[in-house]
Order: sequence, then C-alpha cells, then structure tokens
Amino acid sequence: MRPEEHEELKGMLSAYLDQELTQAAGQRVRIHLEDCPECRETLRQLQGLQRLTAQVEFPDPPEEKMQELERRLSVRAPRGLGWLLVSGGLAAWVVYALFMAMLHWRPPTVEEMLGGAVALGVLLLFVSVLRQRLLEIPHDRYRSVKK
Amino acid sequence: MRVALEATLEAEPAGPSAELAAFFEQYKRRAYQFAFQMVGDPDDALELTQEAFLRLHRHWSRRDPSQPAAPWLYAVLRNLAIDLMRRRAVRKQVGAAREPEVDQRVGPEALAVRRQLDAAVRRAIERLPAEQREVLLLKDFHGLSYAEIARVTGTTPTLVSSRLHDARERLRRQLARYL
Repeated sequence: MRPEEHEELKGMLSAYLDQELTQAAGQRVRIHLEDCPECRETLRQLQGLQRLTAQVEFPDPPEEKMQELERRLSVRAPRGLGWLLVSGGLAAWVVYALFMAMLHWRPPTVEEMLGGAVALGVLLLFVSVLRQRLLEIPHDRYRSVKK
Repeated sequence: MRVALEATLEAEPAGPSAELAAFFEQYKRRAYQFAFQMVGDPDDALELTQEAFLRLHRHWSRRDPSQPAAPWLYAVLRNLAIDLMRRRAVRKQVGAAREPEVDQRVGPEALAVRRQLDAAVRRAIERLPAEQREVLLLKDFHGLSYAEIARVTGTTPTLVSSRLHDARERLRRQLARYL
C-alpha cells in the first residue's frame, strides 16, 4: 500500500470510530485495519481516549435554580397571547372612544377629563413598553439560529 | 367511561408548553454542563443556561418540529458563551471551580490516580484550540452527530470530522501514557 493511502485511511479512523463514514469508506478502513498493525494500534488508542474523556465529570446544575427556571418558563407560557389581547383590546377601545367623541361632541366634564388623563397615561406607558419590546426584536441575533 | 377518558388523554397531543417542559427536563443538565465547559464558571454557566432556555421558549412555537431541538439549544448556548467570553476577554479553566465527584467506595490510592488522570484529561482538553475543543465536547460528552455539530457551529460535517480528528490526535499524543 502507498504511504499516502495509508495516511488517508489513518486520517479516517476518528470518523470510523464515530460510525460517521459512508458504507464504502467504512469498508475500506475495515479492510485496511486487517493488514495494518499501526492503524489497529491507533484505533485502540482512540477508543481508550474516548473512554478517558467520557469519565471526566462536570458539575450538575443546582437543582433549586433549575426548578426556579422551570417555573419562569411555565409562567411565561401565556405571555405572548396576553400581549396580543391587551394590545388589540386597547387599540379597539381607542378607536371606539374617538368615534363616540366625534359622534356626540360636547365639552367634557372635570370627572371625564381626570379619567381621560389617567387612561391616556396608562396608554402612553403601555405604548412605551410595547415600543421597547418591538425595538429589541431586530437585535435578537438568536432569532435567526436554525431551529 | 374511565377507559374512554384515559384513551382520550393519551390521544391528546402534547402542547408546546408540555413539549418544552419535557425538553427542559431532558436537557437542563447537559445544557448547564456544556455552558460550564465553554466558560469554566458555575455562575456564568447557570446564567447562560437560563438565558438559553428563555430564548428557546420565546421562539419555541416557530421552530420546525421535524428537526431536533437539541442542536438549536447548543447553538444558542455556544453563541451566548462566545459573547460572554468576548466581553470578559478571559476564559476560566474548565473544572477549576470544583473537584469532580468520585465514588467514595474506591480506595485512597485509586482515588488519587483517578484524580490525577481526570486532571490530566481536563488539562489536555483545555489546551486544545477553541474550535477543536468545542467539537470534541459536543461529540464525546454530548453525543451529537457530525451533522448536528455542523449546525451548532455553523460549519460542515467534513470540517467537523477534520477538527475532531485533529483534536483527538493532539489528545492521543498528550495522553499517550494513559492509553
């Protein structure tokens, strides 16, 4: 066997170990292994290496923090629908109020002006939060991560 | 009646929340460990894990259900870890924060050998270039296929195979005395 072919097959041992080769390539490596003690030794070492790395332990996540996260995920579940309903409902109320004001125009009473000021304040606060959320969307790079 | 009700419940497909809850249960440990392997700090790892799952949750309904969600989770974690490391400009040593848990039934000598071996493997993994280290971790610790690793890292299965080969060759040389 030519040295370059041996090197090529030796370079395929890692993928052979992971069973990531095509059937034909895997067959080539298998046949080569029967005749090549060097590649058999390399494969044995690669298997040993896999066992070694699999034994290394990494810490587990703190359980109480994971439970807290799980709760946060479940609490956030209906939030999208909530935003949609509140936004749609408020928009409909504004349109309806303007329509009624135009239809039956008269100078407003003090109570109506105070109520209107509070409603306008709530509306402005809501719009500012909504605007902030909409502005954040284009900057969320992970939206485009392939799912 | 009860049989009919049970049959109905069993036939009911799991909703998005149930799906995400099951996915969270299955991957919370692996996600945290991958984050820890990437940034080397338990608090940062926790923060990244939380952020990653919250991001997944935000876009869960838009995912392609025919595709496994795990590569997506790993991709988000990887991007968050890279951002964090860029901000900090320093990456902590993996495992420096905590000693590994070892079965207490083994004797003190075996324990010492095991710790020595464990430390040697960690050091060897640490010394790998970042692009080799991440494919090795994703393959050997997290069990992703080459195609899935390619999706996570934004490369190709061929490049994954090549990086993995290089990583293992380096480790094989550095850890030859233990093999």
